[in-house]
Amino acid sequence: MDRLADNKKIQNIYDSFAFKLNILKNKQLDFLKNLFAAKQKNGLEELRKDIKQ
Amino acid sequence: MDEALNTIEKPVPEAKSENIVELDWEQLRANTESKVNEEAASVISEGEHILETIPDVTETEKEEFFEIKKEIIGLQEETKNQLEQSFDTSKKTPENFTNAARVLLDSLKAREKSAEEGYVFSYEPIIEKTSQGKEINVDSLSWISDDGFATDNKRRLVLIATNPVDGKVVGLRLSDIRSDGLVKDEEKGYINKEKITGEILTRLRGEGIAPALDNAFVKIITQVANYYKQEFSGEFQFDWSVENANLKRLNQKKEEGLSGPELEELEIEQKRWQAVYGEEGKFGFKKNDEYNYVRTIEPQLEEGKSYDLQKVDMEKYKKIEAALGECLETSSQ
Repeated sequence: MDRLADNKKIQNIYDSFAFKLNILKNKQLDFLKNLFAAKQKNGLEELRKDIKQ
Repeated sequence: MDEALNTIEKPVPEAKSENIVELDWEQLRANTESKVNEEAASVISEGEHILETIPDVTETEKEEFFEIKKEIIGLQEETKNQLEQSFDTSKKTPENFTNAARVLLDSLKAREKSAEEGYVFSYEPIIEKTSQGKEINVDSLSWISDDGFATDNKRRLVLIATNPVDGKVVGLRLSDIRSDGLVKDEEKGYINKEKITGEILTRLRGEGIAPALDNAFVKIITQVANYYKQEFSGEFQFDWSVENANLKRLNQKKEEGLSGPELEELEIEQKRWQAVYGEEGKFGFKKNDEYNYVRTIEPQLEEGKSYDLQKVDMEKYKKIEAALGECLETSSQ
């Protein structure tokens, strides 16, 4: 059963990696979405300013 | 940009699994490391691709993004280290191997005087190749009893496999040859049956050491059979007997209601065992009863060749003791 125990250990390491990577992927995605939204907002404000001028 | 973001489905943190038990351990570790590298690289490149589509990103914003990237790389490195450490742990000398080396060393120490007096024998070293193409050097020692008389009709035969590169012991085969009564054969008359039992222990798993060591074992038992044929009148039959402990354990676990990966692992182990020691397996065993398999090893005498027992050279004896001592030192580190 040693082999199974070793395999399980590797599987646990991978599962933990996959879990944390998904969290970081979400974090990256949230950051990019917020950044894009901010840029879009800035762009609209710039546009409004231009129109006013 | 919106399109790029929308095509990426937000991942749900969930562990991915695959059927791990069917993979060899080292293969699984290598596959896992590749997967870790690929998945981390994919998340990073996906983020970079999206970032490129966003206009007017400032240096501070870029740095913020790189901080997340650093975290991903950190996680990737940490995981690879964990895999490496688990590799080191799994390469540790198995306890049963160390125990066997200790018992054998004690036995050889106690038998030194007897060896000096010529009551311990040895056969020519045999070089065998493992399935992975590595060579092992197989030495052997054999004795009956301290005074040279067969008091209990048991001959001890031990095989010590070493790595020719560093001289370290990589496998042990500890066997007994016992008288197993007489059988009457129509052609040969009465035959003295000799039963060979024992166990094999290896320092490393998955290196193909055990089958290579057993190839050498067959050659040495053939020499034992040759010696009997040459020295004694009457017929002798050497039966190498193995017990399928895996199948016994598997059936027991099935009865206990075990299922899932543990049971699958036992079944895979059982298939591997069958392929080597089972009926029509690599070593040509025949089924004797539910859990026992037997292979008769025939003598193969060459004309004009002597099969006299050779007393062990004490230099070789001491060298084997030193190699066994190294196994104990390594395991206590």
